[in-house]
Amino acid sequence: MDFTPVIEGFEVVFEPQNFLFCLLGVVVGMVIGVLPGLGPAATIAILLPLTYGMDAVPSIIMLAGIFYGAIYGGTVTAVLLKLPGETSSAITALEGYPLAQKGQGGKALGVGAIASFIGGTVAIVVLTLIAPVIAGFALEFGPPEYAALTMLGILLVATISNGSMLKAFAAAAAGLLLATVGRDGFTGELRYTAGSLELTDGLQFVPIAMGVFGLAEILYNLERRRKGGAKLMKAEKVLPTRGDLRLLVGPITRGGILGFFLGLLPGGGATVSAMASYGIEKRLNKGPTRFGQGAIQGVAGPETANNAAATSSFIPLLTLGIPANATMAVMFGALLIQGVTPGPQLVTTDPDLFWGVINSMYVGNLILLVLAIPMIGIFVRILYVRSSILSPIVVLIVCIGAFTINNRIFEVMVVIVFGVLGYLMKKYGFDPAPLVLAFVLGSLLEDNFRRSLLMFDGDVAMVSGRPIAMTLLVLFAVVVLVPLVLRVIWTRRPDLDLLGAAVPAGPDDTPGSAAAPGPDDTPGPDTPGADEDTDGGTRAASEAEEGTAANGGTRT
Amino acid sequence: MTSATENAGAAVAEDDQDEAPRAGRLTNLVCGAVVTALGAGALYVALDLDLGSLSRPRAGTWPAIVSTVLLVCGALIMVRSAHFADAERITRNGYRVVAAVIGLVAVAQLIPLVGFEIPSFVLLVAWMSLMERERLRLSVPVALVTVATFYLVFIQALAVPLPRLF
Repeated sequence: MDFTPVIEGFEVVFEPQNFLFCLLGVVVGMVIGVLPGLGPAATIAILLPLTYGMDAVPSIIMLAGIFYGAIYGGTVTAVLLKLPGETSSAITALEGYPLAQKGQGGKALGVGAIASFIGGTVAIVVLTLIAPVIAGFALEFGPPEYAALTMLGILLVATISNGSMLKAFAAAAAGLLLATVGRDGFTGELRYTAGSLELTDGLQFVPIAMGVFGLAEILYNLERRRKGGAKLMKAEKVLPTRGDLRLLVGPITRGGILGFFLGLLPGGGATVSAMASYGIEKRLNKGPTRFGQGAIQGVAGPETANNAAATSSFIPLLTLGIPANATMAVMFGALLIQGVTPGPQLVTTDPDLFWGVINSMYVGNLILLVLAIPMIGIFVRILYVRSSILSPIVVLIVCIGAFTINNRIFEVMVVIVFGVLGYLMKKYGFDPAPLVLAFVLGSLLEDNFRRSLLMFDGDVAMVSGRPIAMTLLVLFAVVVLVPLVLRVIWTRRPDLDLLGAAVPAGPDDTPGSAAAPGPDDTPGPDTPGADEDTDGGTRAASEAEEGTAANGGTRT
Repeated sequence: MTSATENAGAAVAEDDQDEAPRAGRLTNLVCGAVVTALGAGALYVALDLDLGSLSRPRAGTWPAIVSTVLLVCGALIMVRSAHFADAERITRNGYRVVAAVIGLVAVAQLIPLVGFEIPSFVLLVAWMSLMERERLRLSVPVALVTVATFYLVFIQALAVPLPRLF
């Protein structure tokens, strides 16, 4: 491998302007990510308009910084408030919050920062080595391969996402339909514009993301909020002891490896990997501290895994042009706004951006580690600000940000419409992530689907002559069929779990995947893991619930 | 996975927030009906756009496929409406959401007419004091400082062409 472009990428990162934006991104990401309810996707969506006037390289470097800064910000609220900014942090809350209750919140946050740094850095090293290889492989891709890969990506996100799979499919289909609004790229005909001039160029991604992720969340919290703030924990003694470090080597190593590979998969990689890491650490735990009562390994493993997964989820985005999750979909939109089309050619056509962004992650992770520990006190103070004051200010920022897209009120109205839609989707169990991802990928999918049909002259059977596309379609079929087959198995054999192994009967024996923490892994009913499962935090858990219910069990 | 994020966040914060009551079968039935209607409407328009053929796909080909998927999903949601337990009932606090949306629409319509300062100030005060029950002696200065900061940042520093009064 020729490392010259990699080294030149470091030169890009250390240009004063780019370094400054990397620093700014991490700090802003951490600060906004600390605000309860605002996860990485919402944070990036809200701050996207700030990048309009910027060059591509610093803006993407800043957004990447916001991304992992926001992920860490979520950890802070998870530990101190038991209010995670994102699902993967919910797993951290399982052990981090009990630690905070014991007065060891600072240690939990310190370990979280160190573990995140290691997980992120290891993932970036591997990313540096394998991203060009994947990009080279992807150069073989034609329209059928892209169409199949895009379909598979949307399907996997819909399959793994939160809530009912059927509702997730409906959301994804709605996203694909929204992507068709505007002028048809092939024939020039107007579609679904209802005579509106503003819709001639189609709906824009940013106001949709701001509405569905940002405003919807604020509206959702507005309805649920109760007067009175949360009890805050102290966060002192941040650094772990030598004894702690000895305990953490295993969880961090396992979490890093697991997170990297699971993060490559489309759909919730960070969450699934954090859950898997927690499950593994709990099974392996032989120490005196019980899980659920503040085991530091339960913070280190998931934090390493979710950061490794978050970093490796850049690989499908940058090398294939396929965002693996909603946050990457927002990044995808940001790249398109900058006139950069992510994909296999990016390594060769825009090496400054490609290696600049990847290498900025080394620097950004280091900044995160250096800043996270001294800033813990500031985060705690930020958390004192009531959301009743923050929410309307954030809403106003969203509105002004939407206006700056095209300097017109139309985008503000789009944000409001999609904010209401996102709120209703959340209320009625429709995960908005598949909608946003499908919207982003919709044009790519339609273009490649139609090009494929033209290539094959309408004979879809000709796809069998293209091994990569065929493999992807077989995978697609497997993903669709496996849950159906499992449901049939559950209906006939209620005593079998997901993998077909017999499970002991009992009210707590909800089937769960081997990787994800099972019911016996999650502490009591008031814990995040338990809530996550009953809320359908993962597809495995959700499917498990349906299976249980289908068998006459308790339907959640 | 933001929604998962927030759901998990909301779930974890159960101690701190009211738990939303679950919606019943009728809500899911209506959800399915809305999705079905959306799919049917989109399919009708797609048919009008010209479906073309597999060898020569036209503007309506792809929307027709997607609309059909949406229609089928909606129908299945209706059929399985009794089996869902993931929908939440909109509580009496829903009036806050309605008020917030009306306020936002009003602000969006007023900004081109009177500039952003006054509508933004009124929105902030109304949101904080009427909906969130913060005291006026807190909400008014916070709103004033916020609008002034936005003025300095967006108008003066970033030169965003926001409609403005001053």
